[in-house]
Amino acid sequence: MKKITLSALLYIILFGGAMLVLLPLFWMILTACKQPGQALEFRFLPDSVLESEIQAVYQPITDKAIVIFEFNPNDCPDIPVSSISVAGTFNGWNSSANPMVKDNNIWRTTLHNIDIGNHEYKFVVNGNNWIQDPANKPTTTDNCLITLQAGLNQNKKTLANQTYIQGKTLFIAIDRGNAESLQVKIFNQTINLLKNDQNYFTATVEIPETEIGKHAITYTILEPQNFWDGMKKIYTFNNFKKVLYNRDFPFGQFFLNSLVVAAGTALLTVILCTMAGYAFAKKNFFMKKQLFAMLLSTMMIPGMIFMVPQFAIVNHFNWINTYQAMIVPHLANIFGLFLLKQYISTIPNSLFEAANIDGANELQIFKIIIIPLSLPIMVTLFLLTFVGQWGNFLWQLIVNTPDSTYRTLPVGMALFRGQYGQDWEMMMAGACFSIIPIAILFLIAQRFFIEGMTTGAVKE
Amino acid sequence: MKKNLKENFVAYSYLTPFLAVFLVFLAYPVFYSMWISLHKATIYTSWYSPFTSMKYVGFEHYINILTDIEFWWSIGLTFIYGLLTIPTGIMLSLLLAILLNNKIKFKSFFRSAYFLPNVLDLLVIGIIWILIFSPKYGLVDMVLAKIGIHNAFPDGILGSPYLCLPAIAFAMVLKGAGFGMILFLTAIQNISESVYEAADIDGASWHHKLMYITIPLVKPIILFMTITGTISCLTAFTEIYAMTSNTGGPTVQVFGHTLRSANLAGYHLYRSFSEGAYGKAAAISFVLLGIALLISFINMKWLKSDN
Amino acid sequence: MARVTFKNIYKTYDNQITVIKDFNLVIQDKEFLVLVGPSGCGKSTTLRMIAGLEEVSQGDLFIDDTRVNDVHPKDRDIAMVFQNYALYPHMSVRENMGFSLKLKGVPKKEIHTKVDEVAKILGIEDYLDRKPKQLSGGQRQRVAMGRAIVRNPKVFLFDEPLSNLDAKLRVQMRIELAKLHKQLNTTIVYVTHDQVEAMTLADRIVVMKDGFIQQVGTPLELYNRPQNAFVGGFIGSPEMNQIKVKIQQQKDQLTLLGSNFSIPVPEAQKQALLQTNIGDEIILGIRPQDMIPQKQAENKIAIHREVDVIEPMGGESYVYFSIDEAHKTWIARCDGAPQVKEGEKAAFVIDPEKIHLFTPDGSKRIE
Repeated sequence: MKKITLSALLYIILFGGAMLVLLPLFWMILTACKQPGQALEFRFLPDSVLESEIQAVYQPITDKAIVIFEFNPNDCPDIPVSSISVAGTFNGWNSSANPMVKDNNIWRTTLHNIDIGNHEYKFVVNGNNWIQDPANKPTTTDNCLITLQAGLNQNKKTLANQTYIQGKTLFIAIDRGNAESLQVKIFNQTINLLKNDQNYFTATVEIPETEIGKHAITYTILEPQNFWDGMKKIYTFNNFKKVLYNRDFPFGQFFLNSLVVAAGTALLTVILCTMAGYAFAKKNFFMKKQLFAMLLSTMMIPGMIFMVPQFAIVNHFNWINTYQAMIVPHLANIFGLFLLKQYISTIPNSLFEAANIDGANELQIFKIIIIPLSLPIMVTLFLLTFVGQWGNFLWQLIVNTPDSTYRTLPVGMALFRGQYGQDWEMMMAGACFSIIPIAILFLIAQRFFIEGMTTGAVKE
Repeated sequence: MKKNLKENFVAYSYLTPFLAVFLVFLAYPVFYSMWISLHKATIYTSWYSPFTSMKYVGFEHYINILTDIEFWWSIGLTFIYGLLTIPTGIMLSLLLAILLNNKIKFKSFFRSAYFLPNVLDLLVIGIIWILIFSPKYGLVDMVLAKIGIHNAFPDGILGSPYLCLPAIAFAMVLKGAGFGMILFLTAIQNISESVYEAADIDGASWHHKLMYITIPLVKPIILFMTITGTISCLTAFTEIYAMTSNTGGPTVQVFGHTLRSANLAGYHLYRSFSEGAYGKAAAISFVLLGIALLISFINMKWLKSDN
Repeated sequence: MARVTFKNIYKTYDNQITVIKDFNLVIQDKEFLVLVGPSGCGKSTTLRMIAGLEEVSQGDLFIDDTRVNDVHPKDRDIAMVFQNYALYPHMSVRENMGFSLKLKGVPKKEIHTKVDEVAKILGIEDYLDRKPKQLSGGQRQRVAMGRAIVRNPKVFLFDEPLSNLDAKLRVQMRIELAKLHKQLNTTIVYVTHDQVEAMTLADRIVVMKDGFIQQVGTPLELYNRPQNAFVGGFIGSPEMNQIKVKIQQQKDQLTLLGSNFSIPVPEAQKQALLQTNIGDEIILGIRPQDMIPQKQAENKIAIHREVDVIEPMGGESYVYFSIDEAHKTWIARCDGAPQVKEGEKAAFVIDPEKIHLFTPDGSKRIE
């Protein structure tokens, strides 16, 4: 029993640790897949019920009323409407005080706290065209007329949330044409709404004593949400598309350049290090030990030292804005040489002797012994170099002018970060593009990688 | 003798390409840097011809550095950063290796999972950590808010002078743990099973085995990690650059000086460099190199003294 | 037709350590010559000099009548089988065996038939398409030999080829090697530290120590007349018993006097011994086979000692006893079960004709 507990604990620790270590990666992918604005929300799965914003109904104060104005453009097809507002005695004929909002092709506005009694009004189209309400044509005057009573929605429009209070009763009517069922959370209870013949969800609620006299009564609408619809509201792949097809950010070009630079550096590094590593591991030559010690000691030097002189040299060679400027200076990889030397040392000498007796020349020995037998470490070094150069930001930045066509992904990412620094979803989508290829490459070749790394380092 | 000559020729033929690149792009720059560290640019010229007018100033840069509080502050911070990252990194790696050395399923999955962050780009990882650590909307703050602690870090974790450097260290230890783990794991697997069996028979408990068998036998790895860790602390740049958005961290007041709370030596070097103070930057590099050599030397003496 | 000749050969490493000193030897055509000695005696270096893998520091090395000091290994027409086989791990058995011919530019078809032929001799036809990793130790050994045979060289060189095999397989391979030598009918130079291998395989054995040849001869010569105490001890199993004794003269009878025993010197050695000083210490060597443990001496010459341990091996037994106060252990061998018991006094009967005498420093045989 104790053993099972222990091993369960072991798995929990290992799994938790792995999750923690991979947290940045997960977080990056997750954020990259979110809808704009969702990145900073702590929400990963859609709610099964969609809760609306808080709705408020104002209790009738003796001399105030609620009125809803509505304008259907189909009633006046001859007037092109780009904005419309309502003006009348209740707002001092101010044409900009109560603009109407278009919703499902109907312009609407709801006015609260209007004095009860008779009011005249007109609609103002496009800011200066005063027209009469086509649904409430006046009979005697030029202006339209309504009479308001306390608390009531006097003009009886069929509105989206046609909820009103009369006396101590709250009448709820909500227009959600395509919803299956709706609930309302009010007074700390949840009430199921009934669908009436006009496709309105309705309920009648008695207002409790404690709530009477308060200025407003608040409630929220609960609508059950389909899981996939909800997911679509949180997640999207559009960020990736936006990154890929961005005019200011020739992503394909950056990616290709990075690929050329990283793969080119890696390949050439492997070739150079293998040749030199072979010489150090299996050949005797003048000053061998001193040379190797000197090479190793340069590993201690902070890389920044090299940067200015290297830049001066590259500049001198006229290599600014070229691939070789990004490739050649990194080819003498001392750590790679060390790895290769250690690995080749483990190949038994007798193999070389056998090849020698068999009559193989240097080139053939290189081909039949060194390359096949040190393949794991060569792959490792390739990957290490590839990864290193794939992310080598600073050097690639300084050997490219800002308008260079040889700019690489890290340089591009910095540019991108400058442009979309606050747009986390886009940023992370870009980050995905720069990290995922490496992660995949590593997972494919990790067997070599781990084996190669350890043979080199452990045997030190 | 003839054969000797031929062998030398063959060996140097193999070495030539490597040595050529080494001489041009590594050896020459070192000497060039030494020269630069004794000079000063008198007029600012463009980035593409930085050394048009250099004046010999002797050891002025070195003297300036060694009397500069900002430099010593960065060295002190680097020392703290090293204390935060190296021992924890080694312990975490060793712990993971020991845990993974048990007979468990999904071993290769765990191994890959822990190793994967090592190959990822520091710059990008840094940006992700900024997102995780950011105030109010960062993962950490949101999780804290969920358990009822609201607005725990009003300036964000990376914006707090006391938490910025530990937070960076935390991220870097997590990133690097897998590499050390692989090294330790290999070393532990090389220890013969019979040594542990003998210890079992001698009545050793698990912590005896850890103290008297495992740790002494993985000591070369500890040495290796200490030395490489020291070097990477002294040259730490990208993580600071990325996680402090190229500022060097929030400011603190120390004895009337305004200093940056994550201004590590490597980053300090970069700042001098990017401001065009090449002479000073080169001089800092050599001071850092001296410190790295000294620490590596002490490390080796200290860890090898028992053998 | 291949004869290997060493003339005053020296091998020095780094101008300091001399591992082969004044080495002179002629290896005859079609001879199976075994170089044997303890590790570090220079036997492998000698072999590798023949192969051309080690430079000759001084002296001349001939294969047939050609001086080969500066000839590249591939041009010496030799083949070598390595201790760890040195098979190319990524090549199949067939490719491994045919590799040297391929490099020589031999047509593919010819290589194919040649490899098939050799594989048949060695009984590895079924493994030709496998990689070395997929083979057992014995099979790898055969492939390594096959690779050598395919070249049809003048001289075969074997560098401790059987030492990586288990005991049973080693015996089997030893027999096959002997057969193979008859079949191939070429010169073989074979290095081993195992004197049993040397005794069973060799036409002639070269015993080496510290870079010097100790003795060259047929197995029986070495066994019956070892030229010095080292060869006496090295050849034969169990090892020859040796101890220092004093020479005593009683009238014209010479006696070898040890602690608590004395052995009369046989006529054959008398002359030689008379030339040395009476009263000197010399080394006496007796092989375990030449000492029979009995309950009573029955007037024969014997050493009387208490039996320490008896090791019954079935067909034979080894009887251990202490020859002197310092508890130097000697071994006697007898067929079947011995008459004596552990802890009892026994008489170890000696045939004086079969004793070996060496000079006090062990460097020369006295006869």
